[in-house]
Amino acid sequence: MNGATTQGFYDSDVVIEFDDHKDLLQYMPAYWREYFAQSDFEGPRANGVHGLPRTAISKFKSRLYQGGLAGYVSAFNSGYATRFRPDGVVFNPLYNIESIRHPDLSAVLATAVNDWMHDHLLTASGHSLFSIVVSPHYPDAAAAEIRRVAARGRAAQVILPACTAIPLGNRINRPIFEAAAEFGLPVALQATGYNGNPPTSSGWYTYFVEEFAGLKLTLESQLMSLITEGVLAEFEQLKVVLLDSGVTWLPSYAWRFDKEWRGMRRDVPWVTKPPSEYIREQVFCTVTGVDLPESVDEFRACFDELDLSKSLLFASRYPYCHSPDTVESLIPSFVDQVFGTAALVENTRQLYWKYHSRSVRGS
Amino acid sequence: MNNHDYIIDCDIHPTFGKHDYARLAQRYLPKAWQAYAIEYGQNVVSHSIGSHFPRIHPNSARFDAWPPNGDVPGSDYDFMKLQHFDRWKTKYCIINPLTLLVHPRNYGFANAVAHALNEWVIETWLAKDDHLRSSISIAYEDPTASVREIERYSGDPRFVSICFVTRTFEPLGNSKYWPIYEICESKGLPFGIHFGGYSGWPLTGAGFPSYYIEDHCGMAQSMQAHVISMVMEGVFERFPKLQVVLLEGGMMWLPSLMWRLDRCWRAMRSEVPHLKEPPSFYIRRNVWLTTQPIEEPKKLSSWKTFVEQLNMPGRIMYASDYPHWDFDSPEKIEEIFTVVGRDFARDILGANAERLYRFEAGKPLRTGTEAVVQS
Repeated sequence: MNGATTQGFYDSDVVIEFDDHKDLLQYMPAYWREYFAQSDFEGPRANGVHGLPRTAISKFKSRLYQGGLAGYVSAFNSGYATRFRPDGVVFNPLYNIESIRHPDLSAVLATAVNDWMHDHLLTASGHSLFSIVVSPHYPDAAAAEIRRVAARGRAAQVILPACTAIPLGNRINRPIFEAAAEFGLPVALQATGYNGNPPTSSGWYTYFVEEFAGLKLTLESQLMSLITEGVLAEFEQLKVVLLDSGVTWLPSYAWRFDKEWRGMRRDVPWVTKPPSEYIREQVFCTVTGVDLPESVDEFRACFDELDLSKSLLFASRYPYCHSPDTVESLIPSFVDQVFGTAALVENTRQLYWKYHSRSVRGS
Repeated sequence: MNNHDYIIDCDIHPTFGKHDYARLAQRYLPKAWQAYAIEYGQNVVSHSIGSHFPRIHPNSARFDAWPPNGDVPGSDYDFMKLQHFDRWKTKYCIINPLTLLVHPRNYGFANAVAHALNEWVIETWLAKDDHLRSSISIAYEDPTASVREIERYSGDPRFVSICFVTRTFEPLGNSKYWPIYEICESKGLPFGIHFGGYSGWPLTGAGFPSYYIEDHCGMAQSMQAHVISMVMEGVFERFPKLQVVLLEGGMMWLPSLMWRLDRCWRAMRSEVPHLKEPPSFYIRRNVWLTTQPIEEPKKLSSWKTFVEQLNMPGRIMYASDYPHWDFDSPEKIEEIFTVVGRDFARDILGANAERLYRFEAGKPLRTGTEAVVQS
């Protein structure tokens, strides 16, 4: 990996799923342990997301989680970590807590997941970090949880579903961003979410493949919300990370957005710069996703005007990746050819570990 | 101007003048529906989602589009002729009547209104000016009645297309709408999807935004969802000659969306076995784009990149959106696309639309008629 070895190897997106709650029970008060024992609730992924398609499930998954969450950790350690020896990875929980409406239940689950990750993932690999799960339905509770977890160090960021019930830029959600900004944590949006809103302004698609392809539209809407409703302007240091979002849509999106801002900025006077500048300075994308063209030249041409070389993060999206031989082959080859794996790893390190490494050693 | 230097504008918006509502109702709405509208209101879905986002300009109009007679922009034929048709020497302009297309939930009323609108367009616009053409207005959430309304006007050469707004009750690939596509295909009528509407669903997959800028900008996402839906649900496999025109939804997002759809299809094609070809094949075969509101990259060369990536020769057509505030002039479009080539730019202004729409002389059905009472 050209030159990157001097800075190490950092991965911004390693996915862990919490389908089974046995391991989480120890992090819950007695009332909730009893609730799990007596009710039919099996967790958001089991109850809220019935019939998750096989295409959304890693082929390694059943093997990975054979021994529950501990099985995941040992499989990660003996597989990915042994092969690539990362200096740090960000564990991104896929949890769909937004599918739970119960305010206390969602809070207790978020806490259990965060505490489990803190106790079990941090030793997994170098200076690993994890993303804080919070319920987007209850911004005040979310902010409290962010502060509680962030104060212990080792949190990479706050993770939220792209598909929320209310756009994230809406002022009702501001406490989440205040808390993240207070600790210098990025906020990451995951291309998922079960909130009750249909994925389009015309209701529901028929097929899963449509919904999957269309997820990027909701990421686009959220980014528009975060910029126009003033979150990125209010918190100048705040970084937003779009996970598994694809990248080729961003330049043309920025040009339309800039034009619209010129025409309608009177409505949103707090947006003092063209949206493309907020995107360049505060928005990051992981390099997985499915919107790559057929040729590397076409791919390169996308970024002729909107330079994203500092905005793209190295991401394997393990275990949803092919079984690769090298670090470079963890990401699409066009991305490696145009941006360089080493540069993306360095962007990743800068975003998550530049300030973290000291506090990590101290903790 | 030489022979191929002509302008066809695919999207203008004549609208009701101050007295047109009353006149329209009296002339073209059956008495029972006139009384209904007074007693019960229009019963539109937009009422259920609250007020629309306040526009940045009154009537969404250009400041200079207010006619001297004091009526509203788009209502005065003589002023529109002076300011738009004569100014740009347009060869044809296509009217997309947006007025009243706000989803009355009572389909009987909606159908009566759509019909009244078609008659209003004939009398107030088409009958006055041979160079005007129009889309047929239909209450598209009632496809059976829509097909009847399309049949009624499709023989009139002045009606050259059908027009929906983006915010429908279902994504447009849904089989509910297929009877409309069937008649569009069989009559050779292009099917337009235009900015706007009120489905009652939130604009985004994450709920309702707060500001007009999000509503306006968000139409690009609304439009893309229809492209995803129509392609993936097999509309173009079933209706291979259907011609879909995207109006006022932007263009530059399409290459990236094609790449994304092709890759998703390759990974999950077993879910959509009705698709025999990659999604980009259908998009390139069945979709046309219009220019307004044109994206504005800083470098003109970005347009060259876009045109190469798009690879849809002849499929970009000029639209002005007159008299709305986000109007794009032919000069601006010509300047932008001259970076690709002079002929390429000229074709966008005229020839591409002329190849798609049937601008036949033909004999108009009539010049205004009495109301047709509908059930």
